[in-house]
Amino acid sequence: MVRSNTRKRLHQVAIYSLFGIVALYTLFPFYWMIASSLKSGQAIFDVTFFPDLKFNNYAAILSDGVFLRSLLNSLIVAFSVVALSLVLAIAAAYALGRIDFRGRSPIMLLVLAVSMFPQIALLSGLFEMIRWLGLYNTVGSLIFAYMIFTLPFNIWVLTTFMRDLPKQIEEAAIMDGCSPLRIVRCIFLPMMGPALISTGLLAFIASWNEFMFALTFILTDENRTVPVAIALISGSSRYEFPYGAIMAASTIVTVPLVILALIFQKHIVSGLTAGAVKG
Amino acid sequence: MSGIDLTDVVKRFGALTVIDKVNLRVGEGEFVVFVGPSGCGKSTLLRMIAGLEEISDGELQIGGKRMNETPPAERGIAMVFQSYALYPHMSVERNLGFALETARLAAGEIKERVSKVARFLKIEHLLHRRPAQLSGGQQQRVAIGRALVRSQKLFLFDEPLSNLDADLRMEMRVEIARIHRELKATTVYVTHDQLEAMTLADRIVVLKDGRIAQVGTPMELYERPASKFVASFIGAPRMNFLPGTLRRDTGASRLEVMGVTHTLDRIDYDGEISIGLRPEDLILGGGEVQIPAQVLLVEPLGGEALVHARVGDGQMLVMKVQGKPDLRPNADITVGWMRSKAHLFGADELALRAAEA
Repeated sequence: MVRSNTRKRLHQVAIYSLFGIVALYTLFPFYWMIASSLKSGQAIFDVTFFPDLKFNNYAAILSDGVFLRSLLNSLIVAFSVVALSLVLAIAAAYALGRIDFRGRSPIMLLVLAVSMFPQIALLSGLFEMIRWLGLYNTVGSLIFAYMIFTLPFNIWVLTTFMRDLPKQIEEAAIMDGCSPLRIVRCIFLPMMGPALISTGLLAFIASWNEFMFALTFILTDENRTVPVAIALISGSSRYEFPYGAIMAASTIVTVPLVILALIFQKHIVSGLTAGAVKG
Repeated sequence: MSGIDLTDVVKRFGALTVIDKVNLRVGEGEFVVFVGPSGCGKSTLLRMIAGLEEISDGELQIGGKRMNETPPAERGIAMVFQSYALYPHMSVERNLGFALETARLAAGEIKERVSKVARFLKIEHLLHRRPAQLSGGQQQRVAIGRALVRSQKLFLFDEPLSNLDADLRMEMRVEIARIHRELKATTVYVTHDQLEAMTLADRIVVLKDGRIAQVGTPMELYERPASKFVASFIGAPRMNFLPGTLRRDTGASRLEVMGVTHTLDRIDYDGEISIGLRPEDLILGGGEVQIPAQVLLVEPLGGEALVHARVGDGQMLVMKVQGKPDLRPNADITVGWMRSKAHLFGADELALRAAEA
């Protein structure tokens, strides 16, 4: 009895210390970023773990019109990519998942193949396309480019999900007089909520964080997105590197992602665990 | 007008023919049950009537109008599915009203019709729950309610009770019978359970390999099965079959079974046959024809008992006897039956009948 109790306790200690190590490993850079952003001037070069809570870095960055503009651009790009890629992926998933037609699996493989190319390999070709479409130096170029990467993934996930929705529910809806559009809108979409949330969230994160395309396709400051804007933040002289401002900007940029993740966390988990339909 | 007429209806999947020239008339208000083993095409036939499956050949008429090309929702049909197929994200109330909502009825009328159906099926207290919060039987009631609310004249049931446990199945069977009695809607019901078929049907359609093996009232099928297949499918425990030889004579036939020969009215057949005997028609130690047997096992069921016996060289028989017979395994008994109760099937497995009958 005693022995099993000590073993149980040891077991718990082991689990919690593992927890601690993982948490430290993943959260420390984040903490360091926030801590640094709250230090001012020279204090940033001292190794202190508890910051002095000075908000002048935030004040500086939030009064910077260029940064605010790039924040807005990022929001426009990310939300447009999420909305467009979900609408297109839902339409594609209905066709690929519920309708029997010749050439369905070649199309699925093609979609998958598209997402396999490394971004850098596509960069020059994509650049030409964007020039040709007249999208160069607009947020439209980024929306266009990001969809190339978010769509294949979204189509795959949603197709798999859509295919597994029970056939009899669709047939019941047909008997109830629903058109295909109404079936998708009123029956399938609500049932696919968790899948939509996770694919939408991933598309959002991907387009929010993307750097290379954003650097290549945008020329001027007023069209930039935040990852590039942060990288290009410079001090008042070429000898000053504004760590404090960069850390503050990074923190601000991370906040929307954290908020989204917290809001939808429950749905993502329930989407992963709840698969069964029959009660 | 809601009778169904099927004329030479065919369903092919590629080279495979799953429904082969089926002809059937379902009268208005009739309760017809399709039975058969899995893969016999009974569900496919139902789905063709519903419009969920295309008709490859032949004609389907509902209420005297050709319906082959009519979309499912316009055929005047309501359907109940095996898996209930309730919309999981909607309350029971919305599930019931969804078809009416799709048809753009006024909210007030939807509410009125939904609550009427809910009252009829005794599910009023469940209206605000989600399907996942209901038991299997309640879900099935909602599924039936969803069909009722459209007040169609034709109901299709696709194995509606096979996901329920035995108690609920009986309760819902009674409920479905009540619904049919009160609404008098034409009903086509698919099941693989011969008990459901016997108790619910006005007429039973037995299907085998995409063809109709026999159509008739439950008692017709029970008393005069047209083939060995129908005979073994209808009735539980299933019919026993013994091999025998039929010899044609002037004026009469002689039947030899398990070394016992007796005469019958003349049947125009000569050769090997099988003799079908229902467990409830076998008589322990009595009957016009008697053969020796050995007891293998007695299964008491309370008021009656099933006696498993061996006859001849390893043939098995099951008989149903009243009370609890005092029999031990290996005891020698005689098993007998009345000549009129024996069903004879020729080498082609079709029923043989006396010449004048």
